[in-house]
Amino acid sequence: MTRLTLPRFVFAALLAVMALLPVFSAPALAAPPANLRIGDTVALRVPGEQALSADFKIDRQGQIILPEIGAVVVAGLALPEAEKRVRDALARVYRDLDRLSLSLKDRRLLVTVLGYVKNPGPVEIPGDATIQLAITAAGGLTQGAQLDRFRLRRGETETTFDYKKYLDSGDHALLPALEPLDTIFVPASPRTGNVQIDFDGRTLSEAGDGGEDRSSIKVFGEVNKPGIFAHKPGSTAIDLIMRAGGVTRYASVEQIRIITKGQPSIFNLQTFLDSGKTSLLPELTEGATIFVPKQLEEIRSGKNTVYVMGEVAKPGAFDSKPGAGFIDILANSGGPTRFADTRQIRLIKADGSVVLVDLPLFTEGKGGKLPEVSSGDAIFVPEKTDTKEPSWLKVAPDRAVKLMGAVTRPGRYEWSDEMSLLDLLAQAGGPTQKSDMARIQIRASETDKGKPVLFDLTAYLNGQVATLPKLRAGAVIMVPDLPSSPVDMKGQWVQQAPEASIYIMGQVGSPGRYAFNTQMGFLDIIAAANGPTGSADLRNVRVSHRHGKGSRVSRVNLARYFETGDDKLLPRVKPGDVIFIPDRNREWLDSPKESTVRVIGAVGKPGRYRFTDDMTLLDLLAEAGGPTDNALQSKIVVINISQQAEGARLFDLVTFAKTGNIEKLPVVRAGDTVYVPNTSQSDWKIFMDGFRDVIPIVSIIALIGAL
Amino acid sequence: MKRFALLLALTGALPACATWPEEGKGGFAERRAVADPVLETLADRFEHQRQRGAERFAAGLTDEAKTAFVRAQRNHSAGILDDFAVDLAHLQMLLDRIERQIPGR
Repeated sequence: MTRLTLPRFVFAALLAVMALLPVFSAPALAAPPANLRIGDTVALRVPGEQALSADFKIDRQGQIILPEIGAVVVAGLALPEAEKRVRDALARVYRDLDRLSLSLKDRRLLVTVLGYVKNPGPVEIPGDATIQLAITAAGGLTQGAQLDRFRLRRGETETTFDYKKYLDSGDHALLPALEPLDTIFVPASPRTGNVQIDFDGRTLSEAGDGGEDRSSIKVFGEVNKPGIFAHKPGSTAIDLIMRAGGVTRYASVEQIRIITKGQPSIFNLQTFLDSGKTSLLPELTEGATIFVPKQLEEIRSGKNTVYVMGEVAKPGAFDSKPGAGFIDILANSGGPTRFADTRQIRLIKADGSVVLVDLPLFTEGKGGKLPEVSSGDAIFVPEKTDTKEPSWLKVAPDRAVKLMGAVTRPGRYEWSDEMSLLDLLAQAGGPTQKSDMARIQIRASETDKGKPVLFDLTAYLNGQVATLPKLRAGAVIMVPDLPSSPVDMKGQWVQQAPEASIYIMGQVGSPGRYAFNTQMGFLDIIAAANGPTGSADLRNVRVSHRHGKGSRVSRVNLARYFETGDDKLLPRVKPGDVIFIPDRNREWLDSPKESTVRVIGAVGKPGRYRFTDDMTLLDLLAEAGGPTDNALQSKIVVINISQQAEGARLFDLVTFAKTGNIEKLPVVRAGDTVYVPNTSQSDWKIFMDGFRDVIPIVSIIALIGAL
Repeated sequence: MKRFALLLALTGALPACATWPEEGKGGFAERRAVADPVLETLADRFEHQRQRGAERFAAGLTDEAKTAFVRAQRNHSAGILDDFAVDLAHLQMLLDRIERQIPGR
């Protein structure tokens, strides 16, 4: 084996070039290792010795294992030194080793990765690999690894480094360079707890990324993801709150408490957002604490505070600014809800006075100016009253009207002066079918002692009445019932006011007292009383009108109405009137003498008989039973009662019967008298009676003369 | 004999003591033609009203007027002129009322 020798100047030039190489190429590749390291692979070449010419890897003990020789420690040696040591070792067995050469073929790193990696243990990585590659070779990080607390152990020394910073920046300088046999330890986050469970890394990270060291910033209270977060220089309270998921809807953003450098302070996030002044942001130092309090837990008060309560979206206390109006404050509270009674909003002034605000009226442009709101005032938006709700006592007496009687939902209703009686009735479901809408009674108040106002709703709906009655809060309205049927009259008449009744007596099916209103007519009440009986005298129906001055009685010829159908013959009756239908069989007792004819003398039934102009003397005699057997039928006398003088006329029934001459039929009018004499009043009878009286006288005179 | 004749005369005069009123008339006068010119005028007017629908538009009054015509005719025929004058006035009033109830006068 021959040794190759080079001229000295060539060797010096080569060294100079090698010294300059790092300037122009990558450091890992350009700078030849000064010493061999564990993990390096060296190539041994011994010409003629096939078994020795192979690649050998320097193991963790720093040695290579040569055939027949065994272990030779080469780690830590420069390559020529290592070559000499190998030659010396081989020289014990082999000869002619002049041409032996040892070169560095490959460089690898043998490190150990432990902790929160998927495959902890020794890994072999390229010689210029970084910690990231080592972690990758160990299977990568597992969930729960604390990224900013990686530790690197080299021999007896241990170094902690922030792997997260490297991930954030990509700066390799932030990671320590690896050396063989280094141990990388990936710690677990303190949030993982002491019990091994499968957990979700995302939820874990939401609890904060800070360790338990004093530099972390704690954010808790009304934030969405409270936790401990790592401090980063320059971070503001906004950053930390954002990392904590932002504030919840209940957060009191004006009262955020921050403890930094051991000093508590209040951070008004609302003011910051309103103004945008970064000077309002407090400086956060390591170990700071941020607490976002719950809004409801605080009792706010202050010189600029106004309060909004009741049915608004966000009731509470609000800081008022000069110039803020009623609407501004109401809008800040989210505005009235759909349950709010916006017509009854009350502004309770700080001095105790109360101002009623009708918001719809204002929005319609009729409400004038809204009241001014000052600090300390309270706006109360009451709940809308639900009439179905049993707690109707919510309506104050001065805002309520009472609706009773025959309506679908009688009760106490809230009243507004914009409403009308129809609105009220509609809200109560309207009158029932049995209601007497023609006699709605209205009292101004419970203490109203006067007569109730009567309102005829039917007439209003028919257009006969132009206006609705004026109602005010406190009014009492009664809608009376109609009788369910005429049969019920006896039981219900006591409930009826006399002025709501009409009376019908005499020859009808059901005489009595009936509910009546101005919408009903004469025939309605006759029909309700089951109509006239068979003996009713329809020609002499009388109606006593009890309204108006004095008394007045109408006579109704109902028979004529039935004959002609002329409605004008029917009288106009009103509640309180009395209708009397007489009995035809007792008519002569009830009829005045001016409307009857007296038939006296020799007739079957002497008496007073009703006479109308469509009758004749013959009708009258027939009705009176006709002349009797001893009637002087040829001398029937009719006495006419006239306007100025009375006169008598004779009627010869016998001759009339023989001749049928109607010219000889005397006239008879109501009020006249008919006398039928008997035969004792005949001329012959008178003569014979007289003759019988004369004969004895004549006989006496003749006797005296003879003597 | 002279005395007997006187006695007979006295006896014969006895019926003359029972006097009777004169015979009446007019009790069925509506069966005859109208005799009074005023009443006839009113009857013509009434007939004209009936042709214009009086029985439809004033049925009650028309029926009453018919009766009033009967009464007036009877009174006139019976010679009860005082009442007849009243009847004429009543008839005139009835016809006026009927006239007011007939549309399209």
